[in-house]
This record gives sequence, C-alpha cells and structure tokens, in this order.
Amino acid sequence: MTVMHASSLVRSVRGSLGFASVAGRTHLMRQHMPHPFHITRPFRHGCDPQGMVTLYLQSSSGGIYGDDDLDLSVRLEPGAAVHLTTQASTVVHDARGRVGACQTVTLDVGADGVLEYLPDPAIMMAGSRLKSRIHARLADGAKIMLADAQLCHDPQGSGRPFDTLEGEVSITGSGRAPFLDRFELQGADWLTRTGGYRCAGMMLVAGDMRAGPAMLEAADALPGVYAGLSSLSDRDIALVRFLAEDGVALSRALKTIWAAARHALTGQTPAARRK
Amino acid sequence: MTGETYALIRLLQVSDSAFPSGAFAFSSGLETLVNEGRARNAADIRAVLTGQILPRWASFDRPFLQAAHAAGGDIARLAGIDARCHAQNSADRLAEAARRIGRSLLSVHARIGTPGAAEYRAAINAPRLREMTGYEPVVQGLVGSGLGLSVAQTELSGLHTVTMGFVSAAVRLGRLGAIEAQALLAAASAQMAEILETPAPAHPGAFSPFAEIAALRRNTAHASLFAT
Repeated sequence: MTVMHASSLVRSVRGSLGFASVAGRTHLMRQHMPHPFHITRPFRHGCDPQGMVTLYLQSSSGGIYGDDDLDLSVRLEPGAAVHLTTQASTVVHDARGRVGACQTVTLDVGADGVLEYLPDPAIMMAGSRLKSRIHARLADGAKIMLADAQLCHDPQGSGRPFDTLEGEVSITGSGRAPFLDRFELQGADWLTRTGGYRCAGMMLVAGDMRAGPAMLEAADALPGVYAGLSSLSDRDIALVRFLAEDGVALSRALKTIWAAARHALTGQTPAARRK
Repeated sequence: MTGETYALIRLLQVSDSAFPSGAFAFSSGLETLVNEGRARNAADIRAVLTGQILPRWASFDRPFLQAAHAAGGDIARLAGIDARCHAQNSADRLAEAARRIGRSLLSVHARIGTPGAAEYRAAINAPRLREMTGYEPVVQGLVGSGLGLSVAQTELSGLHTVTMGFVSAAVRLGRLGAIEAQALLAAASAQMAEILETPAPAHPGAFSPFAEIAALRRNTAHASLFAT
C-alpha cells in the first residue's frame, strides 16, 4: 500500500500560529494564515482552565483537494493554554487522478502549556487521497489532548470508497520515549478493517494519564460506538481508540470523550463549542 | 546434508505448535469478540483472521521482522529496531503480549543455543528495558538469522505462528471445530501466500481497529482463557 505523493504538489501553503501567556491569560500573539487557512477571533469560556483561549480553524476553500500540500505550525509559549478546533468537518475531495493531498500539523507546546487540538473528523469522499501527519512536541510539564478521526462518505452510494489514507500521529519531548501511531490504508479495505463501522478515531491525552478511565467510560456509554483504552505509562499517554456507526455517533463520541477528559483533569465540565 | 535441508528442519522445529514460544496464550482480541457476541461462528472467525490479524502482521510485524533479520545479530541495531517497535505499539495489551511472546521465545532460544539469542537476552535484561524491548517480530528476525534461515523462511515462520495461534484460540474458545479450523487455514492460505509474495511496506503501520479495540477491552476483572 503506497500513497503516491510527490513531486508535483501544486498548492503548497504554510501557516503558523503563536500563543503566549501574559499575566495568566493566553493570547494569540502572531499569525500567518494564507489562503486556504482562516481563523475566527479568539473566544473565552468560563469553565475552561485558567487563561485558556479557544480558536477555530477554518478553510476558505471548502476542503482539501487532490493537490493540496498544507502545513500548519502551532507554537505555545510556556504556560499558555489553548483549545484549537475546527468549525466543521474537513471534506477531503476526490483526487480525480492527482497525486493526493498532504496535511501536516506541527504542535509545539512549551513548558507547563496545555493544548487541546480537537479538529472535527476528515470526511473521506469517494476517490480521495490524503496523507495526514500530526507531530506534537512537548516540553517539560506540558500536556496535550489530541483527536484524529475519519469517516467514509460516498454520497452517491456508488460503492466507490476513498482511494488511500495515510495517517501519522507522533508525540515526542525531551526525556520521554517517543510515540508514533501510523497506518496506510486503501479505501476498499476500510469496512473490512473496521468490522463494518463507517467511522474511526482516537483521542489521547499526553502528559497526564488520569483521564483515561473516564474517557473510556464516556465512550462506552454511547450507542453505536465501540471503544477501548490503551494506557502507555512509560510515555504518560492515555489513548481511547473508537469506531462509530455513523457521523452522528462519531461527532457525539468526540464531544463526549473530550468533556469527560476535561472533567477528569480539571473538575470542570467544559462548555460545548458552538459549531 | 545441505545447508538448505538443515535450515528447513530448523524451520519446522521452531514453527511447530510444540515449540514453547508462548504464542498460544494469546487470542489477539478474539476472546473479547467472542464474549461480546461479535464473533459467533466460523464465518466471523474467518473475517477476523483475514480482515484484521493477517493484515496487521503484514503491515506492522513483518517490516520489524525483516529489519531484525537484516541486523544479523548486531545488538545495537536490534535494540534500535525494538525501540521503534515499542514507539509504534499504541495498544498496550497487544504490546505487552508481543513482549511476553518475544521474551519467552528469546529465552528458549538462548537455552537451546541459537546463535545471538543469549547475547540479545543479556542486552535487554535490565529492568528499565523490560517494558520496552523484546518484541516478538524483532526476536523472530534475530533467531531466524541465527538459525541460518532466509528472511523469506523467517517470515513464513512468523506468519504461520500468528495464524496458528489465532486459529488455536478459536478452537479452544469453542467457536471452531477441528475440521473447521483446517478448512479455515486452507481458505486463508492464498491470502498468506499473497502477503509473503508482496513486498513489505517501507514503514511499519497498522490499521486493524476492530481487533485492536477488542484486545484493549479484555476484562481483567473476569477469568479469561487468554492474555489478550
């Protein structure tokens, strides 16, 4: 299984965001968001951890196309707290014979920083090709909550799946053993590998494992969701992997597991993000 | 006796179910699937084998096995391959099972004098390494090289071991009869051959979430036949 990427990616775009904590409140200090990247203004919610800011990532192009090469770099200075999400799911369009899209997200979390990187799922349309990479680097005392989810969508019911999907999530940091979760998949194999579920995802917390049992309990209570918890104590990671019957169940799983994790870590139930 | 004949004799020895590899104590998530009513009959067992177990071995275990075989007993290289295998084992129960099988296998081969086994066992014996080294495909590659098996023979042994372990678990769980088990093995043979005749992926990876989640869901509060 090989995802063809290469040489002639015609739409290479590099975006970046920088956050810092000033007097206990996190601010968006710098941004470089060329088309198709776009962001909303920062929001604050009462039940969030001290100083946390919420920012929505958007796309002004209506999704990811067959020749996109998108790279987003996010940096949190020490002590910053950020909830970074999307306004909606990301549609990965039919590659129509092109090499396939590549999306790389690099997350640098400074000492004692907290980042929740919780994008909505990628919708893999018939014929789409995507290589998705999420690389997180954690400084001492930093925590990250991270989600990665996909669903297959064949709106015309033609039985034509996405073409290829390559996923990679890595977490590194000084003094910690690395974590790397990766796969390559042909769309035709999706339903076989998922046991018939149309949606798959995972959510992890690195830097604090206390939330694991609560995350699994929340996922287990949801209809149409099949989930398991992996506790990687040497890397201080709790990871819930899950399958969902449809997009509604997937969306509910992401929101519910996040809320359970936040409650377990802070004692506060977060306010739902408007989308 | 030719070297090839000798290698085949050793291949049969280490691939036999009587060889104390420890692999038969694990069900790769099947016990949970059976207990949850998700694997009820021979068709379900076949679907798990061909849709989860074999693809996971092909895309994840096989590249590590190949790399370890190519290391030719070089301790530092083997330790590096083990470290990468650890980094990529994101399912704790499957990782633990792979380490237990690998370390058991390494111990047996050290005791029967397989070249390189005792040296690598000594190298990864420190307490801090116990939870992050000794993975099954790495040890399989090491011992295959030590026994003079080709990489293709070593792969064949590794794939045979995981397949037989899974089918044996299905029989012991009462979801396959002895004849059904042989029919399943016959039916899976073509896919196994195709896996072995196709180049391994350049980078290990796995996407078998159905069986992986099942392995993660093993209920430690209740008596289980298998460790995964």
